[in-house]
Amino acid sequence: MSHSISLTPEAFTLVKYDAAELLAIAEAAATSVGVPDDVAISIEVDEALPNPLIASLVDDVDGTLTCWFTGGTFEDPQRQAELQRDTAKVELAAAFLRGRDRLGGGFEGAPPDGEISDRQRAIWDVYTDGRLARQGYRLNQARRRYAYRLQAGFNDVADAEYEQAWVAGAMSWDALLAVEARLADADPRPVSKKPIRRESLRPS
Amino acid sequence: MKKNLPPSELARDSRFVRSTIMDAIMDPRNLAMSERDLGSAKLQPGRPAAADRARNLMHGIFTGEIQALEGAGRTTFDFDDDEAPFALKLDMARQCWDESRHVEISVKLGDWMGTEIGEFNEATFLYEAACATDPILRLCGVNRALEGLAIDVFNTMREFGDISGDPILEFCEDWMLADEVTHVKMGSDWLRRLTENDPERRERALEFQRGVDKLFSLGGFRGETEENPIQLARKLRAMAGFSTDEIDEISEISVQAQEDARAMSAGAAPSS
Repeated sequence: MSHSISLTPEAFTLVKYDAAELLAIAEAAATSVGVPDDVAISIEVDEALPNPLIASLVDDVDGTLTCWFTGGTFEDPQRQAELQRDTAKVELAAAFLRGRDRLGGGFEGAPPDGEISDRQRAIWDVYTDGRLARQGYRLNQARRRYAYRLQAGFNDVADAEYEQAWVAGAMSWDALLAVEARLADADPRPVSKKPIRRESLRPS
Repeated sequence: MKKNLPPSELARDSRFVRSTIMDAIMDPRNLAMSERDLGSAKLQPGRPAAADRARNLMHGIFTGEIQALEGAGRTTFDFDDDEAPFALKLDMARQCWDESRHVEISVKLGDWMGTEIGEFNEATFLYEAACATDPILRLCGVNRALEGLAIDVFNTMREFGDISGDPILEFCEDWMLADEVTHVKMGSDWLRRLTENDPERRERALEFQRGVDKLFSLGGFRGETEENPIQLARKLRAMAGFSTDEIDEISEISVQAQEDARAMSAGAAPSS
């Protein structure tokens, strides 16, 4: 292995995942998206949370890519508690690509994943998936588009921004904020005036 | 052609994979989940993983529609005219037409939301409710319990479409919801007509329906609290002919089903 990757838990007890296999997939994904060899990667999988509770967080903590996933992120939706390898490849590659963005790809100033809005995350995910698709990863673009529309809005401006983010070769956190502002201007849905406690699947 | 087709012989291609209710209930992750504060389970666009939760539910609707079509179709064929009046079979034939349309709409909504046919596993408990050998029990299981659940599910999905501003989802769910109200009324009307002079048979049918309603509450899947992804649609159920007492009873059954599932899950947990 060329990257230093740690996995928590070391052995899975609630799902039928093989830790060594997941680590091997992670290593291949880190290499394919260009995470530098000297960057350590820490992966935590919350195996209690099943599909369709799909969520991930990735942050740069003192130069280490710290990643958190629900177990459902890697789960085969047809076969309970079993690993779906192709999905794991894509999800890990996406997380590492966003991690690389944070390390020096224009997103150095972005707040931690737990603090960014759902809409900001949706834009970043489109930008990420577009790059992965061009690298040859097999993605369900309709799924990504739907998740994006839920956050960005079901309107022509949102769709045009989606296309731009998908084909973007480079984007920065500031550019993403500008996209977010344009989406907000075009979104006719009412904005809640009450502060709502932001829910997270990750235990605090 | 064979009468009373068992669930194991339902025709499916290689895209579909079966699961059972016991698989879901005995999943060791349930106990760990129940000890977490994951916030509301209600299906709403602002909740974590909302898009994937909605896609999963939409696929469940799709397979449910296939099974509703199969159930209504079997009822047109499984009974002789002395067991089930011809007019009842005509109603079931009309319902097949509705269910076929719902299957097609669900496939297109799956495309819209990014879900492939067979992407999620399929449980056949809906069809299993349509396997009773007494046509009145079958109508209670399918038209009152299953189609009643469909009212709750479609109403939840329609609200999800409305809040998220998704005009396609909201419109499609609203149209299917209108059909489901008709199907429930059909079941209630035939129950009344065929058991007019046989109160014991009516009670047996209603008891069967209670069992199916409990099964469809799926350990808290449906109910009236923040813990239930699918909300009991009281107003629409009343429009479909359910009395307030009947709706209250379904609500109580849902609470009980949730408690039963918790107990089973705790019992299945490995001792430490």
